[in-house]
Amino acid sequence: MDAAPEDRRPSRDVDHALNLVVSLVLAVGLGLATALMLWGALLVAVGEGPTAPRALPLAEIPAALRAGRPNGFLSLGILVLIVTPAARVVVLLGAFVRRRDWGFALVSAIVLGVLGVGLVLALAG
Amino acid sequence: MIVISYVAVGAAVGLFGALVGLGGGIFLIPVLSLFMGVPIHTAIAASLVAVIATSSSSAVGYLRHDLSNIRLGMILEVATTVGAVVGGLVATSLNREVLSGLFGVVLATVGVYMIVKQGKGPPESADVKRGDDSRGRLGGRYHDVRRDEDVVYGVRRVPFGLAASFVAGNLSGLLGIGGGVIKVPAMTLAMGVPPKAAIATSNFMIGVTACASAFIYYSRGYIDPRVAVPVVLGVTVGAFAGSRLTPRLKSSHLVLALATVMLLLALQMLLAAFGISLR
Repeated sequence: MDAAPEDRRPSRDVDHALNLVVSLVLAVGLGLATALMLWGALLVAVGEGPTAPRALPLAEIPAALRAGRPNGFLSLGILVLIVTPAARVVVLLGAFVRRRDWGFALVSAIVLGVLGVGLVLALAG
Repeated sequence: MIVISYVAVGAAVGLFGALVGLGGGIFLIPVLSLFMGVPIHTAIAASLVAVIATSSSSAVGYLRHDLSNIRLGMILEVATTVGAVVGGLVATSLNREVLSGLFGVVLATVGVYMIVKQGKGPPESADVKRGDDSRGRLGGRYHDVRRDEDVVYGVRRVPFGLAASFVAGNLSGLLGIGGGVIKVPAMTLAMGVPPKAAIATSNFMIGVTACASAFIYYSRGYIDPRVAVPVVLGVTVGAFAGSRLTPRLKSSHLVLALATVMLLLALQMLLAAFGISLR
């Protein structure tokens, strides 16, 4: 992979634009997760309910959010934080496909596939 | 009140971690499990979530300055994520004594490495070229602000990098640490990546690596929001403060002090593995 022809190298400006998009995805994910966790913590502080010793399974989060239970917001905040790096892999996959950079699109797809396998094994266990 | 102490521990770990260039998980787990009564699996899970937060937060800055090498990071992530999934599955089936023992060994190794490395400065890679554009598809380029020049580099020994990344990912899933302590030397010493780009690229990979095993800890109920949330919020604030302080501090004494603390924590973790508590 080291010795690719000169003309296939991505230009610096294109790379910089991609870096900025990925950095934006991470910043938005981190900001959203922090806001959800702070809101959940605030609800605990004002006595809206106790926190359970384990984060809620995905299926129980919507009901907890509708009921305004702190654990719903805390669990969703943690989940948003965990999926933020996966979201940036999706964005990179899209960017590489749009540029027809099939080699790195494949690499991104493999990373997403491994994350998917991790998720399936997690749910199966 | 225990919540406030988790925030304080997170902030201290984030601060000191940023000052010496570590993610902080390596301090967080022994402090939570040895001194605050947090079960080790819960401590590892909280650390993984905290590692994602600090990695994402510093990646924002590194990416804006083009320090992270996204292509190299993506290639090595294939190995770190596979390692992390395997590590996460193994860890959730190991008992606390074995995990404490493993953590103690890794902690002691990292402490000794930090002391040995101290004073030698960051390794300059041999084939960093300035102003030359012979970087290949995996190579990178960034602007070194301090020297006010563009640094262009090529990347070699990718298979070695993949093997080191698998081990780093494995330790991440197994012990809840970022694994930069393996990836950064592998990239600088063996692959020809300049230190600044190696740190930023390792950091870039850490989020995805931790994400791979965090799913496993989440679904098995090891993420306790009462621990994870205050720790994450504390670590984020501490790491931010640390990143602002770093340029103003001479860190050699701090590194030695923290390495000594790491060796003491390693000893305690090893003793805990045999059921001996010094508390």
